[in-house]
Amino acid sequence: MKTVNKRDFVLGLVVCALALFVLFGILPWAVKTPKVIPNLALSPTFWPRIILVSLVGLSAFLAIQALYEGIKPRDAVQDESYEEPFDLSDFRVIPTALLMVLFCAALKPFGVVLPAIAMLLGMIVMHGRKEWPKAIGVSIATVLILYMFFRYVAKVPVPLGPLNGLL
Amino acid sequence: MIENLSDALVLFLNIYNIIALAGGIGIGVIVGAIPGMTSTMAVALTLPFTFTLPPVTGILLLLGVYKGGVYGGSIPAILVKAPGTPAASCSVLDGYPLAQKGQAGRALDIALYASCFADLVSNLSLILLVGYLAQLVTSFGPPENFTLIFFSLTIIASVSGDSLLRGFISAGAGLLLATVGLDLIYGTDRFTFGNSDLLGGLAFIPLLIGLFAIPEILNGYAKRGATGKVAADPSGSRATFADFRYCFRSILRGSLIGVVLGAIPGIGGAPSAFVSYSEAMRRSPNRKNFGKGELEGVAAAEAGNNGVAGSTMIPLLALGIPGDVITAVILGAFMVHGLRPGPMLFEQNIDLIYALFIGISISSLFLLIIGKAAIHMFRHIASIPRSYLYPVVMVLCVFGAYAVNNSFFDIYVMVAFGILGFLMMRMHVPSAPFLIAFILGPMLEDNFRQSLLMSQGSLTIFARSWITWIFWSLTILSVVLMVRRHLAGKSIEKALPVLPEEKRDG
Amino acid sequence: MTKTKILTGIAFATMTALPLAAQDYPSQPVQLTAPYGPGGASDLAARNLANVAPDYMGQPVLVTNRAGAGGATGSAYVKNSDPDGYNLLLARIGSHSISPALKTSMPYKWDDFTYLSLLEINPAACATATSKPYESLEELRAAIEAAPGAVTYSSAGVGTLHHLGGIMLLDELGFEDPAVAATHIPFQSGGAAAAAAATGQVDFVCSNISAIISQIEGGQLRPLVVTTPERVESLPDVQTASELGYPALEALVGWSGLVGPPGMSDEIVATWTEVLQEVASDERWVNQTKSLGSVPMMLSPEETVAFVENQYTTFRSLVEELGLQID
Repeated sequence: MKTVNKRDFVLGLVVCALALFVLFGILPWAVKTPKVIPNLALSPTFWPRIILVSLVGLSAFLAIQALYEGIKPRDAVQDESYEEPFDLSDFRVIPTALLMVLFCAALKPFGVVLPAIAMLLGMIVMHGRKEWPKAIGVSIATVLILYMFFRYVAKVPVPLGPLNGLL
Repeated sequence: MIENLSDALVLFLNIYNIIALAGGIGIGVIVGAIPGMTSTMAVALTLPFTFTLPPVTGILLLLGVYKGGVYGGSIPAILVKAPGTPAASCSVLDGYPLAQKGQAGRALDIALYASCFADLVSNLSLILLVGYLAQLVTSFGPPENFTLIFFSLTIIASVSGDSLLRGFISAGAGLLLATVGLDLIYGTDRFTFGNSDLLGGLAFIPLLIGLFAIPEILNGYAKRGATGKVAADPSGSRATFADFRYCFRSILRGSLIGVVLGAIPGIGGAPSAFVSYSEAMRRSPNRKNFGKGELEGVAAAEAGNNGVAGSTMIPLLALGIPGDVITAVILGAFMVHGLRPGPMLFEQNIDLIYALFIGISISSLFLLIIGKAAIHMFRHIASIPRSYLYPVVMVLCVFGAYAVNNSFFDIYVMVAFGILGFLMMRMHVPSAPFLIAFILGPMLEDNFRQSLLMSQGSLTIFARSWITWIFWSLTILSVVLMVRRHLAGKSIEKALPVLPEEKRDG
Repeated sequence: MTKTKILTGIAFATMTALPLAAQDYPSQPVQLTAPYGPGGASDLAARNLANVAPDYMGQPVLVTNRAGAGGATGSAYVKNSDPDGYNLLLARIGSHSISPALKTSMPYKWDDFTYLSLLEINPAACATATSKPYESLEELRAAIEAAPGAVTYSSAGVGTLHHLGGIMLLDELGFEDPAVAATHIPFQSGGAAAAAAATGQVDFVCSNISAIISQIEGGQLRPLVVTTPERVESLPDVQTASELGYPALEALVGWSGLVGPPGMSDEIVATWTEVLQEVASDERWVNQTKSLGSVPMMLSPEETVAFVENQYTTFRSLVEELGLQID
């Protein structure tokens, strides 16, 4: 059992569990149906139900297949191409993703421009460039140019937050 | 006729018309090249300027923006994996792998040539076949559309990569998320959780950018991403005439698919690109190379995508029916000038129609020239150091996603799907089936339910005309071929030791 | 710089920016949300206004499309924004009188807004494909009676003028339950609904005239009735609802109006009333509106509220009477 395709097995189980949860835990109250429906296939729940049931079936099959195929010896050879989905080399991905999430949280209070400059700077530095003056310059210039383009050419009123009235 | 033509020439031959057309294409290419800014938005933004222009000039400007925008979407799709338009999402599949191999220039070139050729074919069809194709349009109703979309969905098998099962799971998730929002038929809420942003459903531009571009950016922060193959300077690579000839069959096929699908109201560029791509793949001897940087894949996708650009005007001009949002805006431009597209326009303003046709027929040439210039401008993007490129693309995506609806919500959606997309990438779940299902899913469901309403619940409506039979046959044929190929592939795999292959996108 | 210093800086910037805005409105661009996609009547009405209004108020008006859920997404967004006059909405019959009358779970009520003015009305008509046999409303009624449920009509979605138009027509023709008499087939847009009717996929459609006039003139659609009190200039041969004996159909008239979030100050409303009076006499605006098939009609804020309320009440009682409410 050492060579079970863990990736597919976990994926299958997770998707299967999620689909079951949506099917029985969320769909009944989150999809509203009208009082009278001429036939079943026309119901708003018909389509999501079909999709969810298929998802349950497919993902369960994937999990079982992963177990079954994992036992076969020839897959041990295939393991050369198999890589762990996540390993320690991903350590910078998590802070980068966190930075994006933080950016989203900052949009409401600070508008788009300031958080965008901060995220840009953060991402440049995190990618390993420690040329501070250049990084700061690029961040501010890029965001300002984009702001000007969207605001004056594309006529999109990009929220400025605290900078309102200054730009 | 001759008299009309000479009148038309007088009407067209005006420096402002030529400037409008060329300028429109230029604006379109640039706007289309910004992820999130679609050609629809570009056309809508240009509309008020046409209020004060003469009708021919104004409409040519809009058409230029539209055509430029459709092509422009392929540039970021190839260079940074951030398709500028939904239709360009198919160009990502092979365009981006080519760019990673240091052949961005070659991919961009072939995309341009395929686009211009398809545009030309489409324009000529518009001019020569407007009457015949308009007839075809009237025989497409919800049942025909349903079978057509159903057939288009078979492409999911082609873009699933090494595992059909994972591809189908991905597609299932896409279909499910597409049901979020107000139910079209009954107006009830589905998965909206009382949130007014969710009422309208998830917008697909943020989803598109989220699933394609952001995982690539995040991966750039992983050590293996950073040490992996990075694009060499692409300025050296060019598409040759031999490349064009190699792809020609797919380009021609894609153009024709685009012409037909473009003429049907409510179908548009995305399904056309999908069908063209999967047809090219089905027929290519290099099938295995599709999705890993096959030039023909880029050509087929772009040909299908641009093949609609002329024929989409057919229902508008012949019947006064806007087939998509773009032609709806162009209809607005006609009406602002007191013109009503439809059969009457051909009788009353034939000189104007001819003048438009003259403008449309030279637009492909303008697109070639301007597109070439744009490639020169944009190809340097690939040589920007990754440390700066990734963050800048990210911010660009943020602005683009915001511009779709002027809503922060779309940015949240983009980031959320970006992180999901990264997880999918690492779990080897291909994201292309997800997107295709997300784009086609609502069309499939709507047409299905509309058909059942029309027939009062009887399923026989799905076999009511020869068109539905054609699409059913095509669907069955492609499923059979797919299964056979899959089984054959399995037996070969069993016979041969599998070569380890670097593949991350599926 | 310490954190407190940054915060004071930000606070200062916000404080200096805000009073400026209140003093002499408008001091910055006004964002006008069109709650439907580009190319539609709402979008065109918004862009037409945005094209002319800046000349009279000294600030640009930026049109943004925030489409979705039959206008509900964009409308809810404006309802929840600050009533500082920089976030306005182009309200439509669908988003402001039909949907609120039809649906209880809307994120807003029709009167949740500060009404600034009515801009235009869009006369409506019901039509059938020329390939269909119905030459008059009577023949359509006979066909429906012969096979209840088999006759179909298209709409641009639930809660649109097309949808309610079909229901009203059926109600007026004397059918007790419109849902049983004929089948409602919603499409994604007004254009698609008109196309479905013109190509004979459905039996009839009730729509604003501007969206179907080219198909009527092109001979694909046969108009059966117009809902205006007087005959329509472009369709002189088509009988009005009153002439045919269905005066209640006159309530079916599309409109566009300019509204803002609830609680806008009187000064801002007064500013807009002045500006819109100028716009109403601007030839560019009048001509554009007319060429789009609409009738320019500026009303004062009070008249606008009365107009919308009247329409809403009519629709609401119809919905209650027929039990059409959507939860």
